[in-house]
Amino acid sequence: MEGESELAVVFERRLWQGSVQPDAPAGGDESRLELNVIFTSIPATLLALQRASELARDLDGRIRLLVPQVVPYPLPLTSPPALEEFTERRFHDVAAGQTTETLVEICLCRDAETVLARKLKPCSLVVIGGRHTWRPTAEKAMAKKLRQAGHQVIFAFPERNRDA
Amino acid sequence: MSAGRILVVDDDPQIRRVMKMTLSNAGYEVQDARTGEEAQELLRESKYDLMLLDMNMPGLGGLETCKAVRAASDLAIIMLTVRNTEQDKVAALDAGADDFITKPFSTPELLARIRAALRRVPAPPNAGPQRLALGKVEVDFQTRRVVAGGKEVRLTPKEFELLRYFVLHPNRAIPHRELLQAVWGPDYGDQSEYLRVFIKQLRRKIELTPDKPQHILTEPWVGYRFRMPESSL
Repeated sequence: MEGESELAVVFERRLWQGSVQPDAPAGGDESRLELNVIFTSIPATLLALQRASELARDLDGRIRLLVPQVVPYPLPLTSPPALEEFTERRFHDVAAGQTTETLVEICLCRDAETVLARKLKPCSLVVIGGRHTWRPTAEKAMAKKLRQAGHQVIFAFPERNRDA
Repeated sequence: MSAGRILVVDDDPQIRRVMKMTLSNAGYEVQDARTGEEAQELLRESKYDLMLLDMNMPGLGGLETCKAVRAASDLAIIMLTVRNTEQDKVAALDAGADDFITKPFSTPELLARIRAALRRVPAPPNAGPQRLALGKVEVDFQTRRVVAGGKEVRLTPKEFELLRYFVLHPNRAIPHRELLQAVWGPDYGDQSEYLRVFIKQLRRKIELTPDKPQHILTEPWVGYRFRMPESSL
């Protein structure tokens, strides 16, 4: 069990690759801008993916959907409460709606913040979806923490008033 | 080098596919839309030189789309239709179309009409310099090429439009809203986070030291200012 709370077992799947612009660099090009969408809830993530897709189209970028899946302590880290196939199928459906190259990374972890700190490169571009409300929300708190960590965060609201 | 940006609007996927292939092979940058509504959306997001518009479409028809687009833009519009009556031609031209092609048409005729329509499009006033040298970075607005330190850098259409706007308005603080509306369209204005992302990317591509930019400068609480080198003025 030593150091298990620090560990995150990561399943990485290129679940769906959308139509890449004909003159865009090849998918494996590391120099391409990476837009990191953090999974929060299904509607918020779909919204964030939509915004990220617009940006990726205009910036020749690609999307990486990070899904921190928290496994509660009584269970071993390698045995998430939801079956791996179910989770993968669920995100396949989410990513399939995209028109941009989308990589989905499902991370089994004890703590979502730890996994994000590990998975995001310094000064990453992050898109988080959430509700348009004056109240503090978990998504807003996550956005604030990521900004404090030096990342560029776009908070995607529904409707026209898009950004924080 | 692109010979121009064309928007193909037709509800028939086969026609859109064929047009896209034909026009791309002729050197045009082509985007397509299935409906008039989608075309209007694309026109709000980006600038085009010419629109090929099908007259008979479900939803917002060709004539209505033509009228709506013409009210807001001076791009060239060529209407496509299977009908060849005088009444249809008059209706299309009165709706704001510049030309009218009856289906079926040959590829050489289509390309010739596109060239003719593009020749008639007035050049935008104050079109700005054709070339710009920013230290070791050279920008050719004619060919849309950017060379930095001897290596070609690829700018996306939006990045290029942003850079062009900066070059046309040098040495003055440009508010976020003005930049967003000029490049993204009138529906934008509050998305300063988007703008920040594009500015960061543009700096990465044209600044020698993106962390300490020499040309695209931030004007706190206002927007950005493009410092034009004196040699370029």
